[in-house]
Amino acid sequence: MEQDICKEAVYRDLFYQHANHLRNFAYYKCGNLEEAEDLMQDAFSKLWENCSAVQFSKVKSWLFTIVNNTFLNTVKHQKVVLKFQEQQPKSDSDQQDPQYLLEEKEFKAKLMQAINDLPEDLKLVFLMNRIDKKKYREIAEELNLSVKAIEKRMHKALSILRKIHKKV
Amino acid sequence: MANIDNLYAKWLNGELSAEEEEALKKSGEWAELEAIIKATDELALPELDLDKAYATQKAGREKLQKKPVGIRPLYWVAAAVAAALALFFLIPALMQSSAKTITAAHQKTKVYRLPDGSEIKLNDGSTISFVENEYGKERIIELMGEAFFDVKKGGQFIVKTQQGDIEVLGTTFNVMAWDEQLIVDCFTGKVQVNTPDAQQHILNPSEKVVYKTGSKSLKSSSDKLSPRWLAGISQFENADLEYVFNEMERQYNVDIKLNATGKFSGLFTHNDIEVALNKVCKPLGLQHNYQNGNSVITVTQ
Repeated sequence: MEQDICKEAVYRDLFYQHANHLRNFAYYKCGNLEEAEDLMQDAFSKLWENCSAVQFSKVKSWLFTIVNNTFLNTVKHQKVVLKFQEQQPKSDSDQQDPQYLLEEKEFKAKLMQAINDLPEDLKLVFLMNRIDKKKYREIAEELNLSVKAIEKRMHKALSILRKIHKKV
Repeated sequence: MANIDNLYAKWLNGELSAEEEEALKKSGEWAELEAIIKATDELALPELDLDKAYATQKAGREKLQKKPVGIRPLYWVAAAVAAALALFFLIPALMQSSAKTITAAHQKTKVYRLPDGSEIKLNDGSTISFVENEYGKERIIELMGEAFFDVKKGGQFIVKTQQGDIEVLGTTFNVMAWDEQLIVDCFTGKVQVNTPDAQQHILNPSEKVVYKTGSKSLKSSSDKLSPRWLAGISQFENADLEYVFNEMERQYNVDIKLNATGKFSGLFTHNDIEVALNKVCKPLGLQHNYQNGNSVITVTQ
């Protein structure tokens, strides 16, 4: 049976399930965490207003579409520079030699730059897979694209990123 | 070996067979790709505080829902005036953020006239949206899919797509922006196309630009006088079969399973699916299993 989004409990579950991914998605687009959270909150407010009109099975792609549209309509377009937290790698890095660590640091900076320079459509798919750990099917569903299109974008993103090795 | 990236894309999605994985690991590119993946594995965004975020969301909603209860008769007029005032200020504020969206249904095209008299013809399944009360100030249209534009003379007119922006003054042109590809055809006037590869192309009449995600955009001449789809025709020039059949799926609202690869140059019409299938399949020696109205069609070599 279709679930009723107008019910608080159902709506709350949807929020807890999708808020984080939606905020990340908005961040990849606008490059500002506060703005990204506003975009996410705004989309959920619109979901509440339209709770009886939105099909439960389509909620996810509906939310992503709203964030995308609001972003295109309101946010001034500028070059987005994304920053991420670096989690500590699992190996004990203090045992590695300083030369290696320096090279690794340089490589990471180059990689980050290359990710920022990716065409937007490729960057989005690449980050949704790498940061949010989503399967292509899930990304396809959220962006209203075919799985094949997602796979192609990953493939293209990887072949562009691979070129940074040649420049190091 | 460009295929390695494709194998890797599949590997990241956990789709490879044991042998394919073995081949991948033996390839020279494996170390490079692994370094990229390892480095991105360590990246993260700060986790959203869901409880806090939900409290914010709830507070915002309750503010909207709170309604005054039990108004005494004496205050009725005052309340009415207040409500009218509130509406007067609220409505423009509400309208500002709401975009108007127009979609052409399956197997239908749609003509939409913008406030300035410019005309947009939407091909089937395509969507445009724009902010109505901002349109007087800046003419910005977002497009997903394919549309033909007849723009009245005036200030700048911008079409935004996922694959790039098109800027014009007053002209006629066609934009095709599905999944992976952007094709802009200019028929009259001048069109400027900004593609994600940071190229800027100025198109004169009978010129077009083609951009595919991840590759360089190319400008070339075009012999079309108006978009073929307006006449109920889809035309291709050395296009991937996958792309051709995607277009056919959209036009006829069917599901086509393609077990063949190749390129197609030619056209098909939008009024008879059997004729359309034959037009593409016959010259390439492909077989299809279409018979009176099955909606899942298989095409094989």
